[in-house]
Amino acid sequence: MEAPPVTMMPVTGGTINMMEYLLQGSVLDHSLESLIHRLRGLCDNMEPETFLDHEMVFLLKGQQASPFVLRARRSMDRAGAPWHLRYLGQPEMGDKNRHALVRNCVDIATSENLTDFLMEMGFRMDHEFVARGHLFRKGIMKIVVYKIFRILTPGNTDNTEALSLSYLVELSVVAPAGQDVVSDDMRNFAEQLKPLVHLEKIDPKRLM
Amino acid sequence: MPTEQREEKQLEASLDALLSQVADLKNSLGSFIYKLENEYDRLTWPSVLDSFALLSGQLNTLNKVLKHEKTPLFRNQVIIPLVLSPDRDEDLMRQTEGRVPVFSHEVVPDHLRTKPDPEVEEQEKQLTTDAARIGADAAQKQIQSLNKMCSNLLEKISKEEREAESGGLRPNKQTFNPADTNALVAAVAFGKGLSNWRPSGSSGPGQPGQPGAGTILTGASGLQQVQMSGAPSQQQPMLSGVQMAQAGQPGKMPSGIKTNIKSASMHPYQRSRVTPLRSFPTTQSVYNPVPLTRSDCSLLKTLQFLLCFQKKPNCSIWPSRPATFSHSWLHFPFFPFTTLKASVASGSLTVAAPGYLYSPTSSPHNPLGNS
Repeated sequence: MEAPPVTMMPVTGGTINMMEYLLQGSVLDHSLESLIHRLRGLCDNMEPETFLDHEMVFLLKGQQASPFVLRARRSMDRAGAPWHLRYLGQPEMGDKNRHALVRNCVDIATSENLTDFLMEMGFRMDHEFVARGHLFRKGIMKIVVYKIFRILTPGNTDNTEALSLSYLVELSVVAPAGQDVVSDDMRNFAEQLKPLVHLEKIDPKRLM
Repeated sequence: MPTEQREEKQLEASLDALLSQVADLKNSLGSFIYKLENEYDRLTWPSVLDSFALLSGQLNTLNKVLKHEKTPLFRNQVIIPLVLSPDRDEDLMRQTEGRVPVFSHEVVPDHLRTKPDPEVEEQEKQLTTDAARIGADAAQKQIQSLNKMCSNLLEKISKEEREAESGGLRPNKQTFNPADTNALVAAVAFGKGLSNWRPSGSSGPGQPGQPGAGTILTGASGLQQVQMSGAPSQQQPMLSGVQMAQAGQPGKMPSGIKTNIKSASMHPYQRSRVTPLRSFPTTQSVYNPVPLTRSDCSLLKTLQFLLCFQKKPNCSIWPSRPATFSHSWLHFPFFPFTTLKASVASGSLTVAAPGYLYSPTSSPHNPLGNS
């Protein structure tokens, strides 16, 4: 049996060339109720959705200076849900006219033996955490409010400890490249969450 | 005499005017009190305000009458009680609408009083002298400072009101902490502050002979040992490194792999075809090719580099590979750490993700899109 032909070029089009527009902020634990209340008012009318996820971040160091990073996520409260493999590119701050951080992103659903597969490919786990929180939608905007838990013993997601006294708030939109107008909608939405939460484009490189 | 008569007439007229004004005022007060007492359950605020406006207007008219230039000074008139009687006086009763039944020494001091109490009079006198002593400038200053204080107070109150309305919730309480935001963003972006399981000093898989390859799961070591028996001896240093690193990572072994290790150890050279452990659960539509952006092209190239070897079954990259193994089934390219590692890893590949990697029918699912 002959191997299928190999193409040199990465596939373009479809869901490949998608960008994630992102705004981030946080809310203290005691104000979470107020924020949830406001989000329920602002967002699409849907059943309140919560999630409990375990995310593992894998690195592959090659000849390149920066390692290749993939994120594997699995749901801990929904049995049978597919795993989620995610690639995120370098975030770009952009100028003042763009109101959100932009980064390349690819999302794939996978089977549960994803970690084994990545390990065999040579990836190794860099860090992992548990995220528990709420999910809201408004049109194509996605708002997640979640708490990050540090995992105390490797692989044991029952033994965790909260990272801080705040919940991380993320407002994101996944759109084809060049759709910078979506960042306007995001800014308008972020305005409505003030002064409860200040959603900003935060350059992670600044925090390294 | 004519002047006296004229004054008397004036007095009579102004008294009549005063009486009618007071009667009006009394009626209005009476009806307002009646309203408050009997219609309080359906009384509206505007109607209360109407009643107040009426009362205030009537009081103003009364004041005007009193200050009218033609009105004589009533304070110059003296009323002397001629007769005090403890008996019931029907006439008085009628005139006062039943409020004063007797004209006795008990009620007279209250009803005929024309001046305030002596103590009140004394206080008033003192205030007047105080006011007279202050100069006009000082008085003006005091008035200004009082006005200033009042307006400040008003501003404060209205500000509080505004905040209570707009803020609604805890106007003075912080709802977020920028330092927390940064910490959380750093944690999700590159795991800052999170548990880091990376062995210190390890390097990527591109550099062989270091424990970085230890991310291969624990328990796979059994398989590695099986392979070693058929593998050239130069693999040994590397494998020992692998096992050393694995010792530090317990408890990560999925059950599916364990069973496969067993079969692999029983038939080390007959892994011509591994049946899928489980079919892939999701639909084909989710299988978009893996995201390799321009910056990751070099990874893609290395993957393709490996594929070239796979087309030649007898290539030296697979030194211990039996001829029965069909490499064309290996649709998925393996990352070539080194020649040695690749051979080790390709051996373990047969057990790692079998259905996904080896089934010839899996080409539509091919995650790297190299079909």
